[in-house]
Amino acid sequence: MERVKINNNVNLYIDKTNKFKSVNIDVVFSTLLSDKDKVYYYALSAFLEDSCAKYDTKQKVSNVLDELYGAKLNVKIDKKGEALLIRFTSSLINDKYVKQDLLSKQFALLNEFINHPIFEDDIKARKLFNEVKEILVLNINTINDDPISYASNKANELFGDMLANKAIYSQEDVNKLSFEHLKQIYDQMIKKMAVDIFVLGDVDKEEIKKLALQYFNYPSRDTTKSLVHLSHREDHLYLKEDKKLKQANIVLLYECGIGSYDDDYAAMIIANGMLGVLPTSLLFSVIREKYSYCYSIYSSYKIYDGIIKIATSCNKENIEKIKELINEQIDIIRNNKFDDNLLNDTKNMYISNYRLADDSISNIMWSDYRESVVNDQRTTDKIIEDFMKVTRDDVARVMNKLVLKVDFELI
Amino acid sequence: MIKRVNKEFDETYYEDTLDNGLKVVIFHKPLFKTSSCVFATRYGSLDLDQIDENGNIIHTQSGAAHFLEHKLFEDEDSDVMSKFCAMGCNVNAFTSYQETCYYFETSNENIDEPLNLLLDFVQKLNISDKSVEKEKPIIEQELKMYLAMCDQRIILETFKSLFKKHPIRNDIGGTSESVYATTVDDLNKAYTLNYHPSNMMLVIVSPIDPMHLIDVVKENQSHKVFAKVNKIRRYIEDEDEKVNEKYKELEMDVEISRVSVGVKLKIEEDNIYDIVKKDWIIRFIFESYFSSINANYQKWIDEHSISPLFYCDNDYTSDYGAIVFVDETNEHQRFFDFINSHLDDIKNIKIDKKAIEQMKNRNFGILMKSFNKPDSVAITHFRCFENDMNAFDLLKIIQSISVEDCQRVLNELDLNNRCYVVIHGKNS
Repeated sequence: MERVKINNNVNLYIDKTNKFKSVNIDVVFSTLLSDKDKVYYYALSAFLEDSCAKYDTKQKVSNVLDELYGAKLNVKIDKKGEALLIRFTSSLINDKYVKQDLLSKQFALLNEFINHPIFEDDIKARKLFNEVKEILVLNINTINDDPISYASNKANELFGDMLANKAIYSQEDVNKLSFEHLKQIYDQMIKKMAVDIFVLGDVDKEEIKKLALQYFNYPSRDTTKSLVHLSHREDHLYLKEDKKLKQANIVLLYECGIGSYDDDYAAMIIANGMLGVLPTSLLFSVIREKYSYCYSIYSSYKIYDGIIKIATSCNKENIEKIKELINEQIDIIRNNKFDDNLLNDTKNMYISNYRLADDSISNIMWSDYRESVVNDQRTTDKIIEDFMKVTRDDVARVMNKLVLKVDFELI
Repeated sequence: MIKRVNKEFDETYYEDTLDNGLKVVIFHKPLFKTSSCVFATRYGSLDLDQIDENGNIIHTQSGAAHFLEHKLFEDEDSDVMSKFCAMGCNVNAFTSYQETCYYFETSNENIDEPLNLLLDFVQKLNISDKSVEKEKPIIEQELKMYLAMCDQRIILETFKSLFKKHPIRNDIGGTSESVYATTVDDLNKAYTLNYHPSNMMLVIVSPIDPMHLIDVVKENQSHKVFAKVNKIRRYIEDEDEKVNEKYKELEMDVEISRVSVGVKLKIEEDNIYDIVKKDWIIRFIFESYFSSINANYQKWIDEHSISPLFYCDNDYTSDYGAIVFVDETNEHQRFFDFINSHLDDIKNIKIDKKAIEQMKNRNFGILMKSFNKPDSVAITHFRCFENDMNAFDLLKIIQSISVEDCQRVLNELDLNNRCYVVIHGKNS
């Protein structure tokens, strides 16, 4: 991957490969995640994705994307640790399949959506602002109407700290949205946030540099952020919410105190894999396969927050039994009483899966981001090497760091 | 094995049909590390009743295809999933209306062992009363999970309202009752009928030499004997043109109501190419009218006739046809009136040539980009095989659609058999 510094904290990265049939360009704006403006970032992403000054209706946007062979242009919000990322992602098929110059059109399209939003027309912008508010409310409903999503979101809220910032905004937040402040947030994005442009595909590097400088030659800016913030709450919280559901949901949040850059990172990934990620994992093989208590049970490791989440859906009468069994499985790892095969199979799976990531556009783009922007020098090979070194004692030790902080039941 | 090269997509693939009838397709992707293998049968939840060459109708419990998918992973000696994990392979399976697919993905440089394991575990069913009983509560929890998802539930309820007998009205996994009524004999019978190699396809997408891979597959199959089975096909009872239930209301714990209008379509064609083409023509007609391609779409959102989450979708297959319109609103009658008035008017529109060309462009790009992902190459290819074609044939069909085709189909479509479903929320 080649890095081109356009200005301070404005960079271009070109990852040339002929593996894929598309050219993918991500323009990533990043800043510190602020609780106060959380809802504004979502509003901004919906606002900027809908249309722009040149393509000022949904129809015009559809037309231009379809002229470019079903091009994709999305604006996504990512929250990692204490960092907020606003990602403009675009994907077009490579020029060579249609013998047309699509690359310059792809840059031109990103330029329109990023640099010339519909704010330029006040009447249209205010109309779109109202539509965006409706979309935000619908998005809240979508989460609240799905018991699994609701339980997960609620647990994040209950935990507090930076994890609460990852829960969805409230109806009240949406009601308070101000058009003027949204414009200010956009101005901040363009003028103050770090900008990183990633290009992945079979491209001419010189042409990319020329196009990037043409459209994204932003002035230098100062910015700080960290992708890791280990979320913490002091006490243990248990809450049961009765929604008269036919199936209960359990979400347990544990602090592990180990983040993405910790020396124990690889051990924590493997320990979590042994607990509840794979078909061989203890939670799945005991609670689903042995006792038939649930269809799905998993644990996930939030590496930028230092949190382990365990979740399942089950019959109400089995909740306590399942919790006991979860504790037993954690203790098996803590007390080093697991089978060697469990450790070895988990390591094999992770090593294979990290290699697979080299064939996934989204994983490559994220890996490029980590490597270049946050200076994470752990290549896939280095991480695989770290997985291979993980021992029985390592997984037992990191599992002993788990402290249950939120126990939420939705029944 | 026949080598085929598609220059437009810059793809090379190999096809073979083994002596036992198994169709094998291998896409050679030398730049990738991933090998993705899909072993699938043309047996899905719609194959509830099947008829053999002698006219015998074989009935299974609703959800039997899905139940089998759960049970095939069990082996008396050890757990199949553990074996795949030990080899560093992700393995999984899914059942849909038309098919059951088993697949693994790995970055291993040699896939002989997992490939053999995939072929072996799918081609051997070893179940007991005990193991079948153990699975029932697990599937019941799975069914409960999907029933609690209102966005899936609205589709299920729409199909239930449209169809009286067609199995599309059933959840893919069946019901708690049908799952608990399923026996070892049911599953053995369904397995024998539907997992014969001649009803199956293996699609491999891999950087490994295709000649080596086909040798591994042939060697594996050469040791196996499959009982001859009568040819069977899906048996669908004659379905009334009228909908099953014109209006249905139910309640769920949701913030906002889910609403749908379903239109039941009559299948007019016998030839599968014509049916697939018509499915895409219907898609083009309704997408060009009920999406942002239409200038009025924004006006409808502004007037709150539809929400930004509104969508329409269609299925036109050899044994059922339907168009569904879905939205989130607490003003369900207003939504029904809106869809009704446009369905009444749509027959009078002149199909826009530009919109049709636009959708052809879009789908060319979508299909091209699907080749970025090994697993989607394999799944797309198998789904086309179910219609006796491949992904490139499908593209030709899409590219052949003309504005005249669309106008003709629109004139012929009977859009009068409609149902209306509302899942009331707590604020409605």
